Amino acid sequence: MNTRLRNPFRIAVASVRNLLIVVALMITSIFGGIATVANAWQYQGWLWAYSSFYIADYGAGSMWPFMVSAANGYDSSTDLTQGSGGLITAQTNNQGPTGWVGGAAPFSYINGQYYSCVWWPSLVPIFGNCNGYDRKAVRADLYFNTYYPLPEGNYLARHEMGHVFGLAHESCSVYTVMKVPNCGNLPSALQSDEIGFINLYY
Amino acid sequence: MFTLNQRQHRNIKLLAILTLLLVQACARLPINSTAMLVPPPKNMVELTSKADIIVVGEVGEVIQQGYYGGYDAAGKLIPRTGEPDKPGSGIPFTDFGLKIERVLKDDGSIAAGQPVILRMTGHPTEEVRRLNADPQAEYPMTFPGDRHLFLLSKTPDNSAYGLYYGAWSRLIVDGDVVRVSSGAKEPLKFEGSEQLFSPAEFMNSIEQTVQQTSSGSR
Repeated sequence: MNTRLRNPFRIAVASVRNLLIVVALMITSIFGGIATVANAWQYQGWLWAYSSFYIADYGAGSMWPFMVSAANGYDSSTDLTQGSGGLITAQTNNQGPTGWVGGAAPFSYINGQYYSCVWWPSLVPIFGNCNGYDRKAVRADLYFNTYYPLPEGNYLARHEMGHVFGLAHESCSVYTVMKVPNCGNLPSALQSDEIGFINLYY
Repeated sequence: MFTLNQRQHRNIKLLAILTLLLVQACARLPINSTAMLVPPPKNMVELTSKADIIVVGEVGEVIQQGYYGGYDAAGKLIPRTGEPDKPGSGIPFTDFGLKIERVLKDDGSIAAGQPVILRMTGHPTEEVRRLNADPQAEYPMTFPGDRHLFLLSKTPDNSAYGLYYGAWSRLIVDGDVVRVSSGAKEPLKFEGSEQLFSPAEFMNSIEQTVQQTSSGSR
């Protein structure tokens, strides 16, 4: 076969390969995997930079025992481990009539600078600051506002830590710690949905 | 042949870059907040009962902004002086003055001539203004010049007022129907009801509810 015939074939192969890479990136970046019955997770817009984490009491107050329990839960039920990696802090107190009960504020760290992954008060992702490839979250601050009645602590701590690791809110029909309190019937332990997401990415 | 090959590869690379840009654009589509927002009020009584004052007014200039770590047991604001927008710097807040046009409920402070200050989480920066425009943001930031019907709850330090129900405590009353000030600006409807409210009938209803609850609590 001469080069005239061989080169178009190679170009076609390269095109298909590049297209497949782009499609894979697209699926991973947007959906965090193809949703199935077993994996209905929603991707928050970033990933945690490490396969481990540690927690610190920054005035976690009444939520501290639940933070410890949640950290142990992620450690024992998923491929994430405790002890090193990035720091997750928690602060629990009266933060006033803010319109929100709790929130997670992760940060990426690029060229010596921290960048917030979210903007207040919506706490919606800033996609330029954090993502799943080169701008992963390395640190996170959690806030629990006791001005309002807090949801059950085991659920709440696991929910907010789920955001840190890249999980977004989930519909009420899925039994997961990532559904919102309005849904009711809130799990106090990690479920297959979030475990599946974490074990895929960490 | 070599030149053609190079051109083809350049085109493929360009296609890949364009597709990645499309990915970035698409990646903006699913808006997922990490905030656990306060559930909306079920009815008018629930909405108004959490408000100390209810006014129609315009957001004025920024009076102060900074970071805080909540309020202490005595209700005093705990200021944070960390590096802005960095881990551990605390919760950003902004105090705005409010220019009041109409009072529907007063805890006595308006009658006493005290200024009404709205305290919001966040800072009204140009970047936030750009991000705020997203219709999927559930709880956009306030900016000077915004006009709303505000249902305001006193902060623990008694120096300002906040929005108990977030976007549901900051209603849009400039159109035919009352709308919630979320990014989607959905018409206000209470749980289990399809009833929409015109601004005039909604404000009348608030005044009646306030009157009934205050006479009932006497």
